Amino acid sequence: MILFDRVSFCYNEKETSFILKGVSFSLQKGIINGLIGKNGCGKSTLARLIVGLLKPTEGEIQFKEENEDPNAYYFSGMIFQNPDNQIVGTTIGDDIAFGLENLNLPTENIEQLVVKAASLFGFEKMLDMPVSKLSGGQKQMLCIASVLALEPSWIVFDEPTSHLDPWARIEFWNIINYLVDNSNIGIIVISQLPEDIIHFGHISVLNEGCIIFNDSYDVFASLNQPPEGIDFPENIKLQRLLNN
Amino acid sequence: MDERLNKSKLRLLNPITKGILCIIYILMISFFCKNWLVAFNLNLFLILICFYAKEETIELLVSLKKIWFLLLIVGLFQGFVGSSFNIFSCLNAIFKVMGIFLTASLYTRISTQNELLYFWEICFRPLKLFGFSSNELALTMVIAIRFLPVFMNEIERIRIAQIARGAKMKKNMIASAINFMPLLIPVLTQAIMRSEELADAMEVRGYVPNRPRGRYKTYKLNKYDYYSFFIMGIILSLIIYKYIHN
Repeated sequence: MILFDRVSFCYNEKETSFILKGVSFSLQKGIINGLIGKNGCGKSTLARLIVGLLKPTEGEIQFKEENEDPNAYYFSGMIFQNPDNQIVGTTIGDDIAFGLENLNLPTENIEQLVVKAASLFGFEKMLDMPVSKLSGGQKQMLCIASVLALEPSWIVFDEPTSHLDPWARIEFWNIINYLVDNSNIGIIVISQLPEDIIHFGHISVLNEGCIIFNDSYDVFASLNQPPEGIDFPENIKLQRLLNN
Repeated sequence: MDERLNKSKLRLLNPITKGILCIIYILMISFFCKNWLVAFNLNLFLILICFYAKEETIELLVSLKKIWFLLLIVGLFQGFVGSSFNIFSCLNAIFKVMGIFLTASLYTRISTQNELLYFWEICFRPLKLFGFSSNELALTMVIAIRFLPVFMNEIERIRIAQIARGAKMKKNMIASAINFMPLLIPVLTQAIMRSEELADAMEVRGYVPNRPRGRYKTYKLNKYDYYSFFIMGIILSLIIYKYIHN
């Protein structure tokens, strides 16, 4: 579990306007945790705090898990919005191996883990293929494979579907559901697209640096009005029209 | 590509062997060819090696079209050194430039980017004495190579956007250079934004500068490396013998 305890954050200590203002909520494993909100509400800052790229100005983030070392730097991985901006290697194999090389593992272990991660996405026979030949969807899958190779405890996806076509989005959500059902990896998905909401098991809505909604999808779907700054997805709207 | 990769014995060579042989061959062509026949024979040997190794020899020769103007200029300049035009000096200069170009082209054809970087990393190691990290230099090069197609696409996208908004892109050399200037600022801005996100992505995946890193691929010397060094030794000895006794 990840517990945010009155976490505040501002980029400049002299500034009085905080990006996050005393945020308190928790994230659980076994479901897709969705963080939604409009542009500039602090979603990406929150993601960077989870993976340790930023430190809270006030408050604390607790990682409550058994047999886990929260200080390990591969505790949580992150997939960014644009796959093109996070691929380091020139070939599929090199990119998957990048994080493992950083852990200073022996070559044999790196090779095994690369093949294991690549086989999850059907890349095992394409390890020497240049990444420039991959489609947008394949690049996103490669980014996920590269992070999965590190076997992290949590993965944060920062607007992962914004660069994908509709077919690649379906494939993406299938993989996320597979990870939730078949692994012990905690999943956090940050989005500003209403259609992504239907995939979330737990929804946290951010608005101007504050959590204004934090509950399950069912509770969200039963609200009379959507929380400020976001809209209901089309399926909820259609259900309501049919009920009326 | 994979089929060709499996067939070619040159591609099976260790990256260090490829790099060293390439450097020796270029130095040999540059400094030990006193007459055009030696330079011609070295070119011929290179072509025969390509053919034997089932590399795309015709394609390699066709790539010489890119430097025909340079060959012409170098040949003419060298030919007119002295009182009258010397066809042999002209041919010698042309074959020397051709040889250097073909050797470098073949080297980049038979090496993957990782192999090139592995060799560069080893070449940069002496820089550690001056405080430079060879690992970081090599990684910077990987990233630069990795992002080349991304930036080419970016330039094309911005260029098309500017044409769509009425910009006129002329085809002559000076006009294209002038037209390139308005593309630079948006491309540089994008590059800075991308670099920030890439730095975050690298940090999240555990990259810490100057920390020891593992290696995904290791390269060992095989029998073809020893054969190559042996053949190169013979050629080098012959060329030096010819150079001294000429």
